[in-house]
Amino acid sequence: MRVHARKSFALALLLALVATACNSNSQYFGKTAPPAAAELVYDNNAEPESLDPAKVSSATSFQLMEALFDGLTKYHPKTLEPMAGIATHYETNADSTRYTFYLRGHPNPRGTKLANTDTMREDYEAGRSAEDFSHGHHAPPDNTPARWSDGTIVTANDFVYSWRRAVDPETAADYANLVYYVKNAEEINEGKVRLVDRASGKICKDPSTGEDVVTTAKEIEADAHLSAMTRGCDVVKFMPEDLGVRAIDDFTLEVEMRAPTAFFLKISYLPIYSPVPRKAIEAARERGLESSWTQPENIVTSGAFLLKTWRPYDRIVIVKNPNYYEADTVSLDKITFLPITDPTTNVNLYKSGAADFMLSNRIPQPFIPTLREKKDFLIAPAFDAYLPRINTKRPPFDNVLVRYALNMSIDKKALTDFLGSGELPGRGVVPPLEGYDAPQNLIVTVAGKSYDVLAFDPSGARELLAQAGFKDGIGRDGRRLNVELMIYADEREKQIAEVVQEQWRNNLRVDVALVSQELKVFLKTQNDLQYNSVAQINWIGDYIDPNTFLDLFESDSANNATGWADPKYDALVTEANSETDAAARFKKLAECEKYLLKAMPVIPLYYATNVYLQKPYVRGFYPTLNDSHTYKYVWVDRNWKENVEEKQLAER
Amino acid sequence: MLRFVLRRLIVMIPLVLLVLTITFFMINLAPGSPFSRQRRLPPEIEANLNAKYGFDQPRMVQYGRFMARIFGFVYDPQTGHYTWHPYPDFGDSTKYVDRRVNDIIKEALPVSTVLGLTAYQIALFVGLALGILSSLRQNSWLDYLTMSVAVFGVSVPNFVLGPLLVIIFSLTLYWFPAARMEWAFEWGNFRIPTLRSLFLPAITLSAIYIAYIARMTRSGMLETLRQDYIRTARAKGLPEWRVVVGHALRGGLLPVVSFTGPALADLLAGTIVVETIFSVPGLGRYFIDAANNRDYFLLLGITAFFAIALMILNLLVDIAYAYLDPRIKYR
Amino acid sequence: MKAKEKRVSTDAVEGASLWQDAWRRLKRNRLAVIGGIVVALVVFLALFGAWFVTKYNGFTYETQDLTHKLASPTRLHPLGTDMLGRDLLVRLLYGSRISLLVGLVSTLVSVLIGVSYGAIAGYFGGRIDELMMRVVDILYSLPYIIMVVVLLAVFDRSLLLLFIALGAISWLTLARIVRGQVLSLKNEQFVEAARATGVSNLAIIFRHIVPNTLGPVIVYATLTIPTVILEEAFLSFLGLGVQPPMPSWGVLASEGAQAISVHPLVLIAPATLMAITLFSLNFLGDGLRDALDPQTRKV
Repeated sequence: MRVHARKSFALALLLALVATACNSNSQYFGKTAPPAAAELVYDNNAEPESLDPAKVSSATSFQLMEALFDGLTKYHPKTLEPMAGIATHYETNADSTRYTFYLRGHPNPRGTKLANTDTMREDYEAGRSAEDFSHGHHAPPDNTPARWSDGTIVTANDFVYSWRRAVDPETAADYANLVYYVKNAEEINEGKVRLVDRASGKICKDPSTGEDVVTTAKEIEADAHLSAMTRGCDVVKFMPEDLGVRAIDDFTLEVEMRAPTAFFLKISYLPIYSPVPRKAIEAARERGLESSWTQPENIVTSGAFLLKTWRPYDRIVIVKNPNYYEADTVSLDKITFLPITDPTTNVNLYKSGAADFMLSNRIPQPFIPTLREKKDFLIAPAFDAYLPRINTKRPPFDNVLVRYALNMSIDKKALTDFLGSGELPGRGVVPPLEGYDAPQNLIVTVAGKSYDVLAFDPSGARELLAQAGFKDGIGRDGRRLNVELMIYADEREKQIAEVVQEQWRNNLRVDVALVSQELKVFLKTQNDLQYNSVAQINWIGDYIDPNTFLDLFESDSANNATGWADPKYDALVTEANSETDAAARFKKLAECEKYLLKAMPVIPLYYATNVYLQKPYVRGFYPTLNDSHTYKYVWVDRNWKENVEEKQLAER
Repeated sequence: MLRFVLRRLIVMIPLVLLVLTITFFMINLAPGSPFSRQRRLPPEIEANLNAKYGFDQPRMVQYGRFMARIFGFVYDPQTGHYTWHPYPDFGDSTKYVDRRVNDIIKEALPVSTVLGLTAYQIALFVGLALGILSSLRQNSWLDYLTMSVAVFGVSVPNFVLGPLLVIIFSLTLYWFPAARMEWAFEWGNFRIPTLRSLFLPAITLSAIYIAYIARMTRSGMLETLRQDYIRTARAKGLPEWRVVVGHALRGGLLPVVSFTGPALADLLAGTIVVETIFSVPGLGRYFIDAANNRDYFLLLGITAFFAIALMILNLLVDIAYAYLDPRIKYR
Repeated sequence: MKAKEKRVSTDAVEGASLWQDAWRRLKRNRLAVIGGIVVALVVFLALFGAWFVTKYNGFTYETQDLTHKLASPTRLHPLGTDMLGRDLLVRLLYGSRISLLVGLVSTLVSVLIGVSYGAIAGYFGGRIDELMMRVVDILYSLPYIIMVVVLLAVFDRSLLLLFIALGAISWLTLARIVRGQVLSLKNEQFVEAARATGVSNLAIIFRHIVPNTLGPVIVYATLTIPTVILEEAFLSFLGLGVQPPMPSWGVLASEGAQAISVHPLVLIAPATLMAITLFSLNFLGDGLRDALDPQTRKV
C-alpha cells in the first residue's frame, strides 16, 4: 500500500527531473518559434479594473490604456522622454504656468516640436539608437488631424470635456490628484466653494488674512465670520467648467496651471489626461449605464489599437486601428492580453509558448537560478525601493540608535544575492537615478566613536544597541529586546522577512517575531501606527523623480506611516523643489535624503528590479524604469535567429 | 412531499436574506475599506469614491438600500428616488469599476458550473467504481489501491497536484494546454470550453472528491453487504450485479449523498485554487478578489448565489434520502 | 425491504465490556496494529526528532545558510535544504508537532460536535431537524476568509482561535452525514424496541444510534485530518496559526509547491511523511471501525 504511494511519488519525481533536464540545455526558456502572423500575446498578470482612462489605477490597466488611447503626449519606448501624441507642438510661458498645445490638424503649429517617429528614424540613421522603431516609416504631416476609431476628428474640445470629467467628483477618479496641477482641479474635485463679490464678480478676500476665500460649504456654515461675508458675496461652487483648460480653436488647447509646473510634459502622457469619446460615453449614459461605454461593442478609441474582445479573466484582444494617424507604423495586427495571476502559471504559459512576453516580478524564487542563465530573461532597474517602516512612536524604536542598529545589522548584500534578480542593496530611500547623487554613507558619532549608519556593520550595530540600553540585546529590565516584523500575506514578502529576521537575531541577539497579515489589515495597522516595531513594505515611484520618494516622509504625507514628522524636513523639501535649475535641485534633494536618513524612520533595504520574460522574436519592447511601454512600435522578428547571429558577429 | 418541497423553497428566501445580513455586517467588521490601497488615496478622493457607492451613509441606511436592491428597488442618489426592476440588483463592483455584480456573476458562473460539474462527474464515476469494487474485494490489492488513490487524493493538495499534472502533461508531453480555457463555443455568456482544456483542471479538482466518495462508498457498502436483506436477495438467486446495484448501493450511498450537497455547492460556485492555477475565468477568482479587495457588493452577490445553490442542493439531498430509504418520510 | 435485526443489545451490563471487547478485537487486526505503531512512531519523531537532528548537525528549524539553498541530500542534511538553506529534515520533524496537534485535535473536536449535532437533529426530526439543519446551511454559506479576518480583528491570535477557525467548517458536512444516517437508522426495530422499553432519548441516540454511524464518521474524519493540516498553512498566511519561520506540514507543502519543477524534494518530503501518517491513520481507522462495529461484534 505504502509502496503504491512511493511509486507515484517516484514517478512524479522522475518526470519532474526529466522536465528540469529539458530546461537546462537551451539558451532560451521554452519555445522560440515565432508566430506566423503579426500577432503577440502579452501576459498582463492581472485583470484590469477598468478600461476608462479616467478611472484606471493599476499598471495592468495602464498597459492597455497606452495601446487604446493616445494622450496629449506619449513617451519614448526606451528612454521615456516625451514624444508627440495628439499634440505635435507646445509652447509655455516663462514660469511654466501656462501651456499651449497644438494638436494634429492645426494648420500652422508654433513652439517646440515634440519628437516623433521621424526623430526615431533619424536617431537610428545617425547611430544614436540601436533600433529603428520607425521601421523606415515617416510620421504623418502635422496638419493631418488625429481621428477617433469611428472616423471623427479628435479636437481640443475633446480634451476639455475629458479633463473636466476626470476632475468631476461624480466621476470619482482614483488618480484625480494627478490633474491637481491644473488650475482649480483640486477645488473642483474636492467640491469646494468660493465667495464671489456680487458687485465686482471677483473672489472675496478674507479681511483678516487678505486671501481669497476658497473653502467648503460646511466651513462657511460653521464659521460665523465667513457666514457674515455671505451678505455681500455669493457662495459659488467650483464646477468642472472652472477647470483651467480651454479650447482656443479645434486644434489649440490652452492649459493654465495652478503653480509653476516645469515637469508637466513628464506627466501629460498619463491616461487620466487622455481624451475620452464624449459621444460614446453619453450614449452609454442614455442607455442607463455610463460605465458600459468601455465594452467592446460601445468603445471608441484614439490609440493605435481597437478593443475587439474583453472577456474578463480570460483575455482582452486588441487589433490595429485603421483610423490611427500613423497606422502604417503600427506593426502588430493583434495583441492578446492575458490576466494570469498565478506566478507559476505565468512561467508555464511563457515556456509553452502560449505567451510571448510579460512582466514577471513575482516569479517564484526557485526558478530564478535557472532563468538567470537564459537570454530571454531580462532584468532592468525599477523605480521601486523596499522601505520597511519603523514605528518611531513606540519605545525603544523612538530611539534613533536602535533604528540605526536595525539598519546596520542587515547584510543586504546577502539578501539581494538570495533574491538574485539584479536587486541592489539599499543605501538610501531613492533608487539609483541618472544625475541624482544619492548619499552613499552617513557618518554619525556616538559616544566618541564614528559609525557609518548606512553600511553593514554588525559589531557597530551591537555597540549602538548597547548605547541605547540593550547590551547583547538585553534591556535594562533584563528582558531581551523583541522586534516584531509585520508583513502582508505573500510568499515573497515572507521569504524576505525570514532573511531579515535571521540577520537581526544573529547580529543583534534580539528576538524577532514575524507577523503575517492579510494585505488590507496590514495597511490599516500600518497607517494607524498600530504596529509594534517594523512594517515591511515597498514603494514604487509615481513619476521618475526623487521627490516621489522624499515627499513620502513629509509630515502631511498620507503614506508616511512611521510617526516621524519634522517641519524642518518639510521645509527643506519644499525649498529644494522650488529650485528651477535641475542639477541644483537634485543636489538639494540629496541633502534632504541625507537629513531623512539621519533620522532613519525607514530601513533602506533594497532597490527592486523589473524582470521580463520576452521571446527573442519580440522586438521594439524594452524594459523601462516604470514598466511603461509603447505597443505601436512592437514587432515580430521572424528572422531573429539570423539577426542575433549577425549582431554577435558585428560585436566581434 | 410536494408540500415539503414548497415549504423548504419558501423558507429559503428569509434564510438567504439572513445569510446576506450576517455577511453584510461581518464584512463591515473586517479591517480595511474597498478603497484602502497600498498607495493610500488622498482623503478627498476617498470621500468622492465613498459618496459614489453610498458608503458615506450611516451603516443602517446602507443596509436598507442594499436590502431594497435585493428586491429590485434601486436607489438613485441623484434623484433620491427608487426605481424598480423585476430582479435582484447587487449594484456595482468597487474593484472592477466598469462592471456590475450581476453581469460578473452571469458571466463567470456558467464557467465555474461547467468545470465543477465535470469534476464532480469524474469524481462520482471513479469514486463510486473504486468504492464498490474495493468493498466487494475487501483487503485485496484492489482495495489497497483504492486506499492509495484516496490517500494520494487528500494528502496531495490541489495546489501541488495541478502544477504536477501541468509539468507532466503540458510541459513534457504537450498533450494539454498548461492553463486557460479554450472555447469550443462562445455565444454571449454561454460558453463551452473544449474537453482538452477542461481536462487537467477537472482532474485536479476531482482528486479530493474521488478520495471521499471512494472511501465513503466502500464503508457504506461494507455495512449494507452484511445486512440480512442482502443475504436474502442473494439467496433468492438474484444476479450479483443486481444485488450490488439495486440493493447494497442504495443503502450504502447515503453518506455520499449527504456529502454531495455541500461539496457540489462548493464546486458550482467556483474553486479558488484550481481556477487561479489554470486561469479559469470562473466565480472563484472573483470571490477571492472580492474578499481581498473588500468589494462588498460583489462578495454579497456571490455569497447569495452560493447560499441559494447550497440550500437547493441540500433540499435535493433530502429528497434523495426518501428515494434511497423509503422509511424516511417528510411531513 | 425486510426488517433488520436489532443490532445492539440493550443490555446495560454489556456496556462496560464494550470498549474492552473493541480493544481485544483491534489488537487482532494486524494492519491496524501496524498503523498504530507507525502513528506512534510519527508522534515520537514529532516530539523528539527535531532535537536529535539539531544535536546531529547543529541546525534548528530556523538556522539559515543562504549559500546552500535547495541543496540535495548530503550527510549533513539527510533531506537537503529548503529555499533559505535551512535543514529540511529538522523542519519537517519540527513541523509535525503543530500539524499533528492541529489535525488530530481539530478533527476530534469537529467529530464530537458534528456527530452530536447531526444525531440529535436526525433523531428528533421535524421542526428541530429543520431548524438545526438550516443553521448549518447558514454557517456553511458565510464567506470563510472574511470570517477568519474578522475573528483575527476581534480576538488575539492564539492556538485556541486556530482550532476554532479550523473546526468551524469541518463539522458542518459531518453533521449532515450523520443526520442522514440517523434519519434512516431511527426507523430500525432496535431503536423502536429501545424506545418501547423506556430508554431515554439521549441514551438511545448515544448508546444505540451513534455507534451505528461510526463507519462513515471514521472514514470522513480520517480524510478530514489532511484537509485540516493543509488548511492551517492558509490560515498562517492570514496571520493565524504558526508564524514563520516556524514550519508545519502545510507551510512546507506550500513552500515546496513553488519549487516543484526545480527541486521537487522539498515538496516530496512533507507530502510523503503526510501520506505515510495518513495511511497508518486509515488502517487504524478501519480497524477501529471494525472493532466498534456492533454487527461484527455479534458474530
